[in-house]
Amino acid sequence: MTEAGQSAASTEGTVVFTDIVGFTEFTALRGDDEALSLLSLQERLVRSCLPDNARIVKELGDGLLIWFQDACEAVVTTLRLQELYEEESNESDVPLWVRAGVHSGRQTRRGDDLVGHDVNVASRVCTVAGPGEVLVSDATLDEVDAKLSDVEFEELGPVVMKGLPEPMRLYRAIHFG
Amino acid sequence: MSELTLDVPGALELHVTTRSGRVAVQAEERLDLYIESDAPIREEKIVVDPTGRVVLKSSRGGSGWLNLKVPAGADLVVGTVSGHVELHGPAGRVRITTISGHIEIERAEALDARTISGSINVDRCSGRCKLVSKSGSISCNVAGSAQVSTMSGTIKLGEVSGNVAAQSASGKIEVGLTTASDVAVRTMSGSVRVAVPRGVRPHPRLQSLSGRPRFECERGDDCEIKAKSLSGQIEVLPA
Repeated sequence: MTEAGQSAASTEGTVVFTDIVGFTEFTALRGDDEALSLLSLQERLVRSCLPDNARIVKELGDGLLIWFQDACEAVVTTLRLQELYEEESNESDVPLWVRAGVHSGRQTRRGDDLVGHDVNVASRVCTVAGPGEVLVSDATLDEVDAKLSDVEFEELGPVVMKGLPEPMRLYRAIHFG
Repeated sequence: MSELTLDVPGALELHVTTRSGRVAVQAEERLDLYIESDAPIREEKIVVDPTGRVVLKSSRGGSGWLNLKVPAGADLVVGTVSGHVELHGPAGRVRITTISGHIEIERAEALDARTISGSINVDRCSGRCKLVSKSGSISCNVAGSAQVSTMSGTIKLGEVSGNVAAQSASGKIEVGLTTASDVAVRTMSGSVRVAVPRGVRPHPRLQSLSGRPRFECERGDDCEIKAKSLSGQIEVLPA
């Protein structure tokens, strides 16, 4: 999927929403300085993993909106991030519990920001995920097709989400290896 | 009220989606699918394929309630926004997602249930039991293995015979093991209590940043009990 051929205001790609679970509790327990360190750690890990054709679009409090040109890269990178978060959580006192939602489609540019229905859908998918999980929509699964041999997709079934008129099939991405 | 009975061509896998209203499923000794609703049942909203998969979409806006009777061991997939979901009797593989509804499960072979703000109560899941809630509490009396998370609710796992992974930001976590199984539990401010069967000698890896963990079992390498909390009390005790 490329940006060529799309209008200047729109693009196609895969949006990943992430959210740190328990960030409010962590801030209450450990204070603002440690909370800021947690956010910095998250951003550092994300930047260390991002492929060339991806970018952090914006920070949303303790969450991130990340755009990928390629759906496979989006899934693989997000799974890799969950592994890094897990390693950090195990090795340090920092509970980097992150949930992630992935959805592919069309996004509309608004300055550096991305908006539109498919961005909203990615956000909704994220709300259904538990800590450590990467949930992907059927649109992303279609893009990925069978190209990722070491990733399994476990179907959750049709999920009805607030604001979306139709149920959507969601899948949990699991990395083997 | 309206009702409908459908013959099911194979092993039933029932998919139900509704926006609101209670969904109650009874798994019992029968071969067909019985549907009862307070709203008219529109047959065009029901798709039956030859493999036994039945897809039932409730009318937009949802119904006040939906009662379903399915063959014992049937697989179920339920998606709702605000409806409560109840399952009675022995079901097969069950997947339930609701945004604000509560989930009650009597018996399933394997379970993936998730809700944003509702609670989840499971009596018995013989296989893998995966439960996710954002702010509701979670309880499961008997599970094969358990993977459970909630943000602010409590987690109570009565008797688990396989591995356990549980985490809660501020709720307390209680785990009861029936065999030597690995446990990984994490909380921020909630307390942790793990009950280990007598005679099992676990290897503990306990870390609380406030307070000294209490470990009262004989040490060994039968299994690993890993518990971590930022400020909660940790206890690992013989059952």
